Amino acid sequence: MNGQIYSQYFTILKENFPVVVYKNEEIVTHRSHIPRVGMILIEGEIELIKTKTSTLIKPCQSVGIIELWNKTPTKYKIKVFPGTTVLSLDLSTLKSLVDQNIIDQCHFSLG
Amino acid sequence: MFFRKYEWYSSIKGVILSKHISKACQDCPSRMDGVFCELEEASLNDLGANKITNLYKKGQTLFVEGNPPFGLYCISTGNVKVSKLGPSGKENIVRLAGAGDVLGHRSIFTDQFYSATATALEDTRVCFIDKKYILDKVTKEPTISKNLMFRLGRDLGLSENRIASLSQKSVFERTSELLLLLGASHSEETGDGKMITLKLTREEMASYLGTSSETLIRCISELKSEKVLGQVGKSLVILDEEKLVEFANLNY
Repeated sequence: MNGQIYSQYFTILKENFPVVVYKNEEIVTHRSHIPRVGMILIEGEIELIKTKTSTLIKPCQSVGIIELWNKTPTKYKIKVFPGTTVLSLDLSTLKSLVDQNIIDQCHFSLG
Repeated sequence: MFFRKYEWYSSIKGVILSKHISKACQDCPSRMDGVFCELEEASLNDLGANKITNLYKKGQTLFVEGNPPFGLYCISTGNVKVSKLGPSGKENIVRLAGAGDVLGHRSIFTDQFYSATATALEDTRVCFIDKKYILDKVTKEPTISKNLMFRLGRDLGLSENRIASLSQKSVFERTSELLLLLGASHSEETGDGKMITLKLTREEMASYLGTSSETLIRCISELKSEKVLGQVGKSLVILDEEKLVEFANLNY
């Protein structure tokens, strides 16, 4: 999990990334895979599943963004439930927003 | 700060979890069979920097029917089945994709949800390229557009042939046709004939043919009794390809 998104950044992200609704349950990222897209939960449920534990993330929380930016594998499986609405962040748009200084690159680094 | 960091996330530092190996597009074993085969070095490097490569184990899904598309999947190694769920919940395999094939491209160009589910049949290395990048490249690199159009045209032709086969041919003929298809795309020569290397269960083969497992098994037994088909372990071997073509009742 990557963190809580503050409202001023949420508006910028909503302007630049699509809002999508998942019709069917899907494991969008398998354990130790690099996410294809990062997600910010708007409505519904996203579960982060490790070997023995799982966590449900709350609305306005993000998942997979830092791993996508750094191209590092996740430690957990990301499952999206039917009817979930997310903001979908793809790598190309993230890179162009960083290039235009709309998003600060340092927020995507490890450590 | 834009993002808060959580304790368990900080423990990930330095840990490499997967067998993920970043492979350059230039080194891809399917490069010359793929959509990007005619790109120059600089474009391939750019593509390499913008793709995500993952290794899918057998049974893991790449994408699910009815969900939104995010980009294009390029199969580097391995095999994937593309299936749709019927009203009764039964799976129907509509396509088998192998190394060099692309998946998900129709959904990004038509802006519709995925029309089928893609599942790895074995360990499969897949490169994902997001929608924005692909749409941008399609306008700038005519070879990518040309190759994608070629694949769309080829897939349309194959689908039309399948529709005709399903309505006009018997299960026995369709079984022979499927074995010829697998012999052409997923086989290796042995002393006795062509051994089919793609490991499909009888249920999966029956699903592709639109029949029951029992009927398929009867057809396979009949082909074995005709000495057209053999078996080594769990692998089927095509012993007499000419006779199989006759049984498939091909129109050319």
